[in-house]
Amino acid sequence: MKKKPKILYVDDEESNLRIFKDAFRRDFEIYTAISGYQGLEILEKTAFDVIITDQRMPGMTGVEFLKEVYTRFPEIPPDRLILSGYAKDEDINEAFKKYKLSKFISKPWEYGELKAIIMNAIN
Amino acid sequence: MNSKNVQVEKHILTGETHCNNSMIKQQAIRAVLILLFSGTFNFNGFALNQSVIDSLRQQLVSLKSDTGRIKTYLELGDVYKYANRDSSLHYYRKALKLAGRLQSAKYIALGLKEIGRGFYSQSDYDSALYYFDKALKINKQTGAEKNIADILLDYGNVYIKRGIYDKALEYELSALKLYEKLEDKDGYSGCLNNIGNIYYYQGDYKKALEYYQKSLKIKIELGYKKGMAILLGNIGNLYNELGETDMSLKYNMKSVKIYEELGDQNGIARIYDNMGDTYVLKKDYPLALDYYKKALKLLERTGYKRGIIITLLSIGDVYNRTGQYKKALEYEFRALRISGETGELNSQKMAYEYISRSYKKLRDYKNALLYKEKWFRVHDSIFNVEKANAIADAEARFQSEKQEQQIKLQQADLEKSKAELARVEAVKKRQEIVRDLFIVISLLMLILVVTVSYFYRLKKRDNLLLLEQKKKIAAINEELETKNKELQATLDKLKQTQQQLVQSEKMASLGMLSAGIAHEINNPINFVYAGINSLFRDFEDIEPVIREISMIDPESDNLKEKLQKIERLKEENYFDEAFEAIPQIISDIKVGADRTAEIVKSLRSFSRMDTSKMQSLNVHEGLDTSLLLLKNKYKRNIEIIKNYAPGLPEINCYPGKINQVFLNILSNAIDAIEGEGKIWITTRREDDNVVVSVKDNGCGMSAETKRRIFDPFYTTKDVGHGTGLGMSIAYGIIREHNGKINITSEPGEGTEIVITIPINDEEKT
Repeated sequence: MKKKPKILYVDDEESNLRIFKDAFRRDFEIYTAISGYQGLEILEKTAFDVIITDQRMPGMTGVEFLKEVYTRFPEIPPDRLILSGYAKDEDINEAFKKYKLSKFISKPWEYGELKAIIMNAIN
Repeated sequence: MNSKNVQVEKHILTGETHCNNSMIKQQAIRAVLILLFSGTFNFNGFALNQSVIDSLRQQLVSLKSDTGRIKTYLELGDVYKYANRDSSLHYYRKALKLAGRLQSAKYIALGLKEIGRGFYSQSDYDSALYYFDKALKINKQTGAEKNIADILLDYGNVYIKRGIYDKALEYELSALKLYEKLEDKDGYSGCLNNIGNIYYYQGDYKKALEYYQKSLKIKIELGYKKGMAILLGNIGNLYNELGETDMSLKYNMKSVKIYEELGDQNGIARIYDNMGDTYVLKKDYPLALDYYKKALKLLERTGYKRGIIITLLSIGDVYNRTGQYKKALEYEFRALRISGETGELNSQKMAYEYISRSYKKLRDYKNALLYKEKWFRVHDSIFNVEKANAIADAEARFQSEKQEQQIKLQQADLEKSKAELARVEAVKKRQEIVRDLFIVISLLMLILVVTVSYFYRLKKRDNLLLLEQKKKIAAINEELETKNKELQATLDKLKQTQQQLVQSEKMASLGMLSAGIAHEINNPINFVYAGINSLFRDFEDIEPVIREISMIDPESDNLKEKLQKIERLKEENYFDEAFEAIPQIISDIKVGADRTAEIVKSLRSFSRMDTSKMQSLNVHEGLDTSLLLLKNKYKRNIEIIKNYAPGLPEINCYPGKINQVFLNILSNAIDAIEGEGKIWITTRREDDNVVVSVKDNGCGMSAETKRRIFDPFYTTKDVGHGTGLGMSIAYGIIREHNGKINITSEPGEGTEIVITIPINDEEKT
């Protein structure tokens, strides 16, 4: 059996995590984190093909999380980071410019569309 | 012709007051001229020349002949005529007294006539007429036709002054006839001049010019230089009226040349004044000023005060026209001072009018009004003085008539005792006296009638003035009304702008709202949207397994084999995972749907923002909705601590508006917190009010911000991040609900905003 790509999904809504996992579990190996902090912890142990994060989260926003990822794990190849949700243009632009963000998608996402984006990032 | 008319019109149109004054002024000047003409006194006499006075006084001492002394008294009277009324009259009366003692009818008549002229020159026409009457009577007795003609001329002058031109013309024409009969060309030409004056005053300049020219021709024939000069001046003045300034200058130049030859300073001054008028007409104000000032200098030397006053006012007028109102006032006050010295009310009145006008131009309406009032006062007092004079004169007349009667009665008695024939003559004489008395009384009646009609005319003129002023006030009122309308329009515009601003703030709130909704609905909708997709796929996963199971036929199928197949299918399709996930996904979808429904429900009050109907509002719900909308703004870094009073009554209010206030205040509290922070929301009931306190531990407000927080457009936020109207509108809304907003804030400590809103329960109140 072909090894599935590993995806880390970070969102502060448990329902979102569950739904994401359920939608993509057939295609990818899904790891989820309820916050940026938890995401960073997981990243310490596991390497991922693609990281997807929600923007608006208490404590650490998606962009802040991406910044942390960028500084702590510089070896992560570009085009592997995706941001979702609702964010201010300035924040997104900052992430694009500085933290290797490759795609921004707005919620609610659509399975086919998001899958295509993820596949695109991996290849 | 046309252009001429236009110019004349212009001259008249340069302001009613000016027009009136220039008439008065011209009349004043002409008063001198006409006297000069018909008079027999020394022309140089009216310069108050001390050496002349001294030598005349010397004569009085040295002269033995009484007639010589009478002549000297008359000359002295002439000398003082224009400078000092009392001194002048004093000398005339001395002459008259002496003449009376000598019983010289000729000199008595002369003295009476001169006294009359003295009063005339002081504009005391009733007194003047009284003395003219006396003089005329004596002259008629003695049959001195030349003197009769002179007095008729004087009568004419009085009626000219009074504006009764038909009567004046009548007198002038009878004088003219007499002079013609006497072949007195000088008198005849004087009459022509006066008739010219009558036409001049009536505005018939063509006819006036005709008469002036006729008169001038005779003067030239006679070689009477003084007369020529006067007439040339009159014609010059007339051309001013016709707007023919070049012709005016031509005549005035000729006139002044003659005056210069004669060394007549007042004459020269008069022409300079005329020329000043010409240059005013030509709008060459510097030159006009030059001439007026020259005239003034000459007049100051001769001491002819009335002339000085008129010239000062002319100068004031020029300054007024050139916008130098302060300078104008300077001259006008000088004129006023001198008119005060002479006690001559007419010129005082003129000065007041000019001063009032200058103050008006300076926009000093207080002083303008003050001097206008003074003008009215003098105007009234002239009226009273004239009346008083008339009464006093009537009394004096009565007294002197009585004395005269007594003297004549005594004389008659003496005659009677002398001889029978003489007695008859005396009776005859008494009859004559009675007849004379009758004449005098009828004359008195006539004067009375004339006086009454004169006063009536004056009153009428006052009424006209009042009417004019009423019109002016009406015009001012109208102006005020238009100003009012303009202000109203501006106010309306401002109100409209205010409404637009309130609207834009509402839109800003709406923008904040939609941003909040977008995010809040984002997640729950995502549950539903993505969840349904997962559910669908999970169902796809479990479907083959379920189908396989449902197709099992326990009779025929190998159950073991089937179960193995099912197990395989399950593994292939991640059946367990899907089976496990389904209820979770359904519950997530339910959560998403519920939350969306909740948000939409709670937004209902905000969707009623424009409702103008009072409705009941649960304050806690309002606060929670606002918090929900602002969640994405605060959830990262702010803890909300709610301290809601249980059982807080609903308030009757405009819910949309109150929610807008909550949204604003909470939004400000969130903005005040930079890093981590807390917001305490406390509610409680106080009497018939609900109190909502929103307290944050943010940056707090400076004294300046605290002071200006409710000012429209005041904002501490960057451009584009706040209209600066939020709190001002919040204030307006709370005020509208008869509530209160209180602020306590310290920089660095945080801010507490306490809103008190009446419960306003309709059933209770």
